[in-house]
Amino acid sequence: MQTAASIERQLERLWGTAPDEAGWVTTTDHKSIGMRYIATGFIFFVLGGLEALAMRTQLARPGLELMDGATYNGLFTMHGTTMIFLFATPILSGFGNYLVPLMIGARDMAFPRLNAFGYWIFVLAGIFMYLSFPASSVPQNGWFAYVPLSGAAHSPGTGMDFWTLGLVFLGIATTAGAINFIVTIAKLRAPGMSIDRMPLFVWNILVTAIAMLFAIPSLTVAAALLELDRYIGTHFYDGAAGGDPLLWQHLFWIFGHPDVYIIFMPAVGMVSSIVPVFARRTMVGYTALVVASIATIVISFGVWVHHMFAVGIAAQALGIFSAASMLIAIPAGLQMAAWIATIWAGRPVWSTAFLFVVGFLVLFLVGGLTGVMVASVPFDWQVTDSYFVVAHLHYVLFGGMVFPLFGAFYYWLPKMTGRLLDERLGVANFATMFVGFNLAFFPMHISGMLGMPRRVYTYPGGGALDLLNLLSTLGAYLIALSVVIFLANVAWSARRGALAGADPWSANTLEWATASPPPAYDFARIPVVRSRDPLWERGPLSAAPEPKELLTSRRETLGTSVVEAATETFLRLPGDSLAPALAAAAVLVLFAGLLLKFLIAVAIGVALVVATVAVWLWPSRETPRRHVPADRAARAIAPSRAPGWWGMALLVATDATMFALLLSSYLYLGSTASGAWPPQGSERPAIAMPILGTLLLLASSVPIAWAEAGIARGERRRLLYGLVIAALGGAGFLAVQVREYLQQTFAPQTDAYGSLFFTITSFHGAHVVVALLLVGVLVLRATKRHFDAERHLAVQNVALYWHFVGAVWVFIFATLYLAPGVMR
Amino acid sequence: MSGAGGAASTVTPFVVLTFALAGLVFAAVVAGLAIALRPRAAPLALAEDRGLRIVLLFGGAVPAVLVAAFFVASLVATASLTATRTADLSVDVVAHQWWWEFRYGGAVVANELHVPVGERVELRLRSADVIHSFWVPELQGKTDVLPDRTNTMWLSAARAGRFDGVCSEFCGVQHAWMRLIVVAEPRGEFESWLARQGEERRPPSGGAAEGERVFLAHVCVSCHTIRGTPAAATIAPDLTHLATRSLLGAGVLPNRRDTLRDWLADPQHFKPGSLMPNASLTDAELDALVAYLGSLD
Repeated sequence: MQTAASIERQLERLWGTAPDEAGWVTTTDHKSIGMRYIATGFIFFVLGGLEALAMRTQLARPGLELMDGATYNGLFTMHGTTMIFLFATPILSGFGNYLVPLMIGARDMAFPRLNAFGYWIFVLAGIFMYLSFPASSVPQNGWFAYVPLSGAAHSPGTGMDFWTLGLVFLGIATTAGAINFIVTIAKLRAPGMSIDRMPLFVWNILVTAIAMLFAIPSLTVAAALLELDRYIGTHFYDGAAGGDPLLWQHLFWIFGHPDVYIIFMPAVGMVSSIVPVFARRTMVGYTALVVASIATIVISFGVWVHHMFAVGIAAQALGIFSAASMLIAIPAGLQMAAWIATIWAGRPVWSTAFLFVVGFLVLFLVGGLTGVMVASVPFDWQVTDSYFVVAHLHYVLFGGMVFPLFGAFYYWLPKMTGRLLDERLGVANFATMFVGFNLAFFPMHISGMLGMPRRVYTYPGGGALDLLNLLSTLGAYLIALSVVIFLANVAWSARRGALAGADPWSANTLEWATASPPPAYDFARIPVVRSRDPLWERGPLSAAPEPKELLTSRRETLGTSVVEAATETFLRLPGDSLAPALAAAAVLVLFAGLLLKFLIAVAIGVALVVATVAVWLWPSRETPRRHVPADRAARAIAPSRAPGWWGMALLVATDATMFALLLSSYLYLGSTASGAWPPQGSERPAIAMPILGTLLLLASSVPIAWAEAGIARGERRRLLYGLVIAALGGAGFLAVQVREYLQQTFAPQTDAYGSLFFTITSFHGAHVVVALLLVGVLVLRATKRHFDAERHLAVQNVALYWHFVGAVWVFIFATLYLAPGVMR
Repeated sequence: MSGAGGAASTVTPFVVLTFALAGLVFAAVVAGLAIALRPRAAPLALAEDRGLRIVLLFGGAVPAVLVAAFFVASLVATASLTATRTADLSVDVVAHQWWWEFRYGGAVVANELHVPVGERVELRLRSADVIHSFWVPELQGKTDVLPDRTNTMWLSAARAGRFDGVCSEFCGVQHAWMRLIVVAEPRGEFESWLARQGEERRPPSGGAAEGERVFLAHVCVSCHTIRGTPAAATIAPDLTHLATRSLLGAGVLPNRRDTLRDWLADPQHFKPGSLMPNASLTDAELDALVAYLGSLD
């Protein structure tokens, strides 16, 4: 009989990270990764803040010449890009990474190595973008990079490429993180934590991650098309050759507006965590808050045109986007009412964390109200692109995200470090930030109404703008002081702060059930959850049954069902590995090659990525990765899919979104074209051979399905034959496509039609190549007898991908080959 | 936005209503928050479904009604702005990095738009390069100016005066100095101004004649037009009546003889990154050029 202490020792040995430099690189512990995200994100916050201070200094008086226009433009571009992409999203991911497994009672994320990979990608992408400073080619076109200004003709040099490639690079991390959060939350919750008992923070991370999956592809597509225009002379955004600069604006804002909520939603989750703890009662209107989060994200995908009210779209068509934008006031109202009602019905206790949350409520109210104003078309025509919008967006993003973030620091840093922050310094931190923020940003409402446009490096003096700008600058310095106070507080309390203990706030959620800081394995015994506030239940938490030999012999956590969180399996989690860091470095080589237009480096980068991913995914020899069913009965009731399958399905969903956006771009440019479509000189593509290719590709799904069904019954030979036959079909499809390319009368550089045709078909062709590579790996592994009836997740995943590649071709075929006949 | 003209004054009541409504909601919510934060001895006993009903009422139903009312008011204001009308005057506006060109048929001017008071002016906007946005805060909301397509907007000034305008879409390194002035004047004054702007330059004499030779012999001629001379390039502002205008460099300097001389001596000092190069003129050449350009009224 093992004692609890000896189990904990064995768990520590099993889960602990090697205490040397190698361990620092190889760790997959979600807590280390989360804290790294937070620390790195904070460094970028300081950099973005210094950029803002430099700008505010230049604007303190009219006509100052501390810097020229080019420098100023680089600063506001990097300020916006840094704050949105390198600070807000990653630092919230950091809190999600650290807290989600703890809050749901798991021992790590569903894909710990993918998690490590995401962090390395983020930090390398951030460094990549910031290398534009020493390279003296800082991007200067704002975080929105409107074409044609950002095109090759008006922005030569590599500045724009640092920006565009950096964002695509970073998108890999965001997408990987989103998939990981969704699968973790869906499959790894402690037994009994049904979805109506999930902490609101977890709900908001889930909703945010889903939004990321569908929003990031739009940025990736927009950026990729821009790079193609810049590099090889395609015409997606070229109005003179059938393209349209407004296509960029549509794609960018289809990403950009949901992104506001991607930043705001996790902060809402933080507020919903902190409010009930300091109101000392359970959350009022939990259901309303969940519905509000979902509604906000859904609506946020339908409002992008409100960034384009002044581009010349007919006012009648703008009405629907105006209405949708105003609708967001309703979920926001639900959130506001739930928070205030909880405070009202509770017995509020003050602390710095709560102070920041109350500050947030006031500031977000202001930002929300001005948000409804700018959703009105005639109002927006007056204030868009003026300082009024600068004020509005900072009330929403600084008030709505940075204030909750600082509340979260005071609330959760004690969990991470084991020591409380100082409350008196905390009050000074809050007071300077609240006063400084309002001093900096409230006057901007007025300067905007008076006619001060955004993104100007100087302005003529002699009017009210002089004083208003001076006030804004003073406020900015006060905010900087506030951040200095915070850093001093962190430094002081890291050594001298009062010990926090497991639960310093008498809080309600599971992260407070384990030590501060938590052990490497989070929970020695995974708790069973019986309510929304498990720590406010009477009596101690009960532990889920886990066989001791599993618990102490390998890294594992409980897999539970998606809705009810009923125990299904014991999930094996992989150990620390160098592969994620190496794979991220390989991606850096690839992007550096693209930046420098150095094709050999690109090729080496691709080869390195393939090699490192292969090393990463190749099964380790000693223990088979088998999921042990918790008990046969549970498995029979809920035969649900493994986390790996969920991961692949989500990857396919985000990939499908990219195809949908490309096809939408085709239909958009086709339907707004002034002349014929395809344009004069570009023949409609011939149809006979493509029909043959289509049939080959679709038919090849049959042997894949046959192979998958075969291995499920343990028939290895059938698996092998099915894979080889399918591969022949896929190769036949590619041969047809290559032949068509060679015979085509137009090129990607001919006009926007040619650009679309070749980009869409070759993007799909690349998917077919990847599918063939994957099938090749399966064939290799099948000959090494890696698969049997129980163990063939890789086969399921590749089959899913193969079917997807076929299904998406049906849409491409219909759009590119059949639609031109009907469109006009 | 003081509402000195057509559109801006049309929306003024709507803007006032907007701020009044927002102020009311702000006060009500902050008051609710203050009440909620009062210290109390024990928490309220509030059943979950009753709590949810309170949230749905104050957080869902009340905002829904307010937003619906605001949307209707916004639609009415939009309709009043976009009503079809006939133009009293049409002007072609061409936005360039970083200046404005206004074409009244044959009369071509830069950075200074003259309109008759009280009349409906149609602006046909198009860009020669990147996306810009035309904004005269006191007269009208913004309309973006794009290459390869023409946007239309309306402008009218209810009273005579000079109104500042800016480019409000970021358009590159000198976006800050892409300003303009709208001069609203009585019909008669406007017509005599327009007639003058349509004429060729007055032939220079004395030092000014020397200045014209300097102009035509240097880089100036490869970008600018002065009607009546061989200079006919359209990359940069038409200078035929430069001396009648009040701005230099799209607002970076006022147009006087001394500032004109400074500007010609070193435009990159005042507007770094602008497309006007330093022409490396001698002092004597500068004096002649200033005399010439200053005579172009």
